[in-house]
Amino acid sequence: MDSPGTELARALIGQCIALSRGHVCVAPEPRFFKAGSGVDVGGGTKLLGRFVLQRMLAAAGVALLVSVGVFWLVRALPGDPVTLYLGQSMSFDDQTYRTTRSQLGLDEPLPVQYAKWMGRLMRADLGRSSRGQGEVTQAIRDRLPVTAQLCVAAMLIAVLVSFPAGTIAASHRGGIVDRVVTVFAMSGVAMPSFWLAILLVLVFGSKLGWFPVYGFVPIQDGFLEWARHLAMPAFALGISLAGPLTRQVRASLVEVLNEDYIRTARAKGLKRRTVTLQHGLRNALLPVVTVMGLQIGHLLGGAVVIEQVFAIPGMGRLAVQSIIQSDYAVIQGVVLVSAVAVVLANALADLCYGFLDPRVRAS
Amino acid sequence: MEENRNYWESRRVTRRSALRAAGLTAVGSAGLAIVGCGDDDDATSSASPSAVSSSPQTQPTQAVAAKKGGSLKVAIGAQPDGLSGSLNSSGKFDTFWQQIYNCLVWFDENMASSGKAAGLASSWERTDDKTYVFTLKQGVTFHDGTPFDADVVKFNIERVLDPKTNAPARAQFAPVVASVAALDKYKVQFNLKRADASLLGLLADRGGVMESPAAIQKYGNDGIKMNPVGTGPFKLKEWIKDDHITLSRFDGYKADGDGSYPYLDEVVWKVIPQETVQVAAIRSGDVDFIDLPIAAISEFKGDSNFRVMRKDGVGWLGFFLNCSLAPLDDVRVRQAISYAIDRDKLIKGAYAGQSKPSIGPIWEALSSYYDATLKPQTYDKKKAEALLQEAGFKSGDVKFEVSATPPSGQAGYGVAGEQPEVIVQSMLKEVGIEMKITPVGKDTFDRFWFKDQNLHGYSSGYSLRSDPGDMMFGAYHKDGTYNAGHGSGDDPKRGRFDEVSNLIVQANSEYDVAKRKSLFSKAQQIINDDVRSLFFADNFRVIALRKEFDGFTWYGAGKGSYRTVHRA
Repeated sequence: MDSPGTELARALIGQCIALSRGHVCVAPEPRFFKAGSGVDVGGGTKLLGRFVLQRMLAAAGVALLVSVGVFWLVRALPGDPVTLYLGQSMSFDDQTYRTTRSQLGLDEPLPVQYAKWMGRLMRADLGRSSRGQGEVTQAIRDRLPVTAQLCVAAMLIAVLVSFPAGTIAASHRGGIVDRVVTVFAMSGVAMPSFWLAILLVLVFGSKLGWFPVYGFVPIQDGFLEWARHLAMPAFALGISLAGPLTRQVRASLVEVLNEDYIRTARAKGLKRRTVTLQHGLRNALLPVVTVMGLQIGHLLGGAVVIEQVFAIPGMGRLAVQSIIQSDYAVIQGVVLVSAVAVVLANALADLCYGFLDPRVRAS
Repeated sequence: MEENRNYWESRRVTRRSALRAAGLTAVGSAGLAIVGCGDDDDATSSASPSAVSSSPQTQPTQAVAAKKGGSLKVAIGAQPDGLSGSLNSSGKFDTFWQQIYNCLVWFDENMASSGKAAGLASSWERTDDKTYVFTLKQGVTFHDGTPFDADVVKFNIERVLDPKTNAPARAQFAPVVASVAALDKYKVQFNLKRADASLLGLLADRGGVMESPAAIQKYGNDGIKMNPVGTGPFKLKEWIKDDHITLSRFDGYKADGDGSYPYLDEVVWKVIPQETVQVAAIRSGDVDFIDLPIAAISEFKGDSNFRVMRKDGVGWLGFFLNCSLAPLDDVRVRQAISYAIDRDKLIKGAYAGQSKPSIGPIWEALSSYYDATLKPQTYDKKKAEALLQEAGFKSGDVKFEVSATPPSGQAGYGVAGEQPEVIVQSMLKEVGIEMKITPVGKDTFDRFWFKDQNLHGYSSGYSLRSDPGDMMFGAYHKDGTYNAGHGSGDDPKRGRFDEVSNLIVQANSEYDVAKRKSLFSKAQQIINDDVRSLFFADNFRVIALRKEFDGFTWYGAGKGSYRTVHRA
């Protein structure tokens, strides 16, 4: 039997193909539950441990593939890091060029460079920046928490917007409320995040003065200032995610609300709100959690733009600068760490299934 | 029976719903157009470019009354790689090291050099054509307490000349400076390889930066970039990468001002890549000083909350051309290209009408060498077509490629509106010339232009220096590093390369300023007539400073100095 995550992913892909042909998205049919079967939950800890190990191995495999890909791709990019390092005037001679190239380790065969880089990676050493960023590991360690805070805040905003909106839309499906929510959801998808970011800066930052227009304050320097600085960037980033999430919450809930057990719950006299939230929404969450996991990559990509606009010293800004400066070591480190982060986030999403659905835990 | 809840089947488009939707769309679009993305109409109604400037400050205002204190927050678009003056590879970052270091020689706001300026030499004497003796200011110390003296000068110049240092200025110094000797504690002698009047200008640039020998020994050549130690008015306090750089006042500053300045406690450079956000930040008070985007100049000049200062003639904007690469190796083709460009229209389109056509490579701000009588490159479409015909080219035959880098909107660095390359491209198309624009990254460009020399041209300019000699040699002498193609010889079909080279060499070895100016003017006229570069517009810089501060000056070849800035 496939893992729950694989089942759900396959079901979602099938539903998306169906959607493209004009058919509605349906929640995956719960195939694991058998009424009165007395599910055996013994050995759950062992299963969880095996699951975590599988996911760690998967992350390592992805990291290896990404490391090969980024190593070769970065070196295929046009540009010469030695020239950039030595300066625009090209006043250096060939000897200086060769010496600098050797110092940067770029004169060795590519497989040797890769092997040395992987060797250092085993010691958690991502190398050294050729453009003044220092040790790459330290640079990423300084910036990753900043981007993580931005992404988590953005996800939180997306959830706080999409869950109520999608639930209300599903509860009033076909009505004016449903259509209004749909329009807002599509607007969120269509609006470029950088445009929204600048709009927020001009209105709430410059005109109204409610929020600072740029920068980041670490949480240890004051929760209020941290929150004020993060509010607009997180909102600009989160809104782009809220659109598809709202649509998914709505679609999943609509299908769940058509199930027999929902009709049974209503027939038993439960309040509409209890039925929708306790019985309906919880069962509708599995595909939503999958979409949230799949959106982590989108969040990281969006963070690059948002960090530039709001001058937030995160991984996104580091990535942009290192690409402009052909700083190979930093590019490799950032791409690798980002890929591993996406894999781990999706693994976390898979783990969440177990919390949401006891049938998944049992299987 | 289960109701059909298929979402797609339940959406039926009726005539009524379609008309309703169309009506809403039309109303919404009309509303957007009215509120809209309207640009500055101010640009077209602005008076001549010089109308923007506030009262020019020839010396710090109210220096006696100015109190010490305050923190000036300056928005910057990008942080430098390092803060070492001698190792700085881009003129764009000169403003940074100029607050931390002094050079041996300096020029004041009017581009006059003297011991009174913020250089470390109190006077100098040219004892013969190849010998200079500098008398140094006494009592000057570095931020780390190391005293400044003749041995320090010798150490720094020899370090620049050493190939191992990789100092960008070595290319300019090595052909000129033979050796440096300390005559006594405060006298140093420069022995030159040839008579060269550009030496003072070189010593007022990155090659003349005085760094603490103790710091270089402690941190090494790489480490000094992150740990700069100079004699300047401010010292590095903190550098958080991608966030901010904080300088604190150096209370022992002695290079000029007799201890009365600097006034500020701190200068904080805050990295804000987006220009729109910079403008929002100065309006909200999050920063105090920005380089104004061209599009925002008109909006700020009437606002009493800000001091707006403008400096004209701090460079020229245009195209460098590789005059050895066909079809640009034919002077008639280059002239045709020049005649096809309407510079007034280009300035309106690319610089919001805020500049004026450039008349040659030497900058207006360098008044001792600027020649307003030069015949500039002009617009004449008929002449362009006639020249192409004479050269035997039909419409569509002439094709060339230029590189462009992404523009910023800030005055002095970029554009407002359309990119100049795009405007030029459409103007050239009208006379049947095809110009391809290739945006390349900086490192790729460096290789194409300097090493491989397979690019026809690139869109750039040359910013103001204290002396024109280095720029003229680098860009127009046949051996100059900026002169891709290194054309030589004199040929009516290709151009007068040797004549220009000889004039430049003569000018650089002539110490009399008037004679030097005359030689440079002759060279500039040939450069204009042979279209060695395409000159579009004068570069300028506009800054906005919140009214709570005052005292900013254009010291440092238009880069600016905070040493006299104080709370108003």
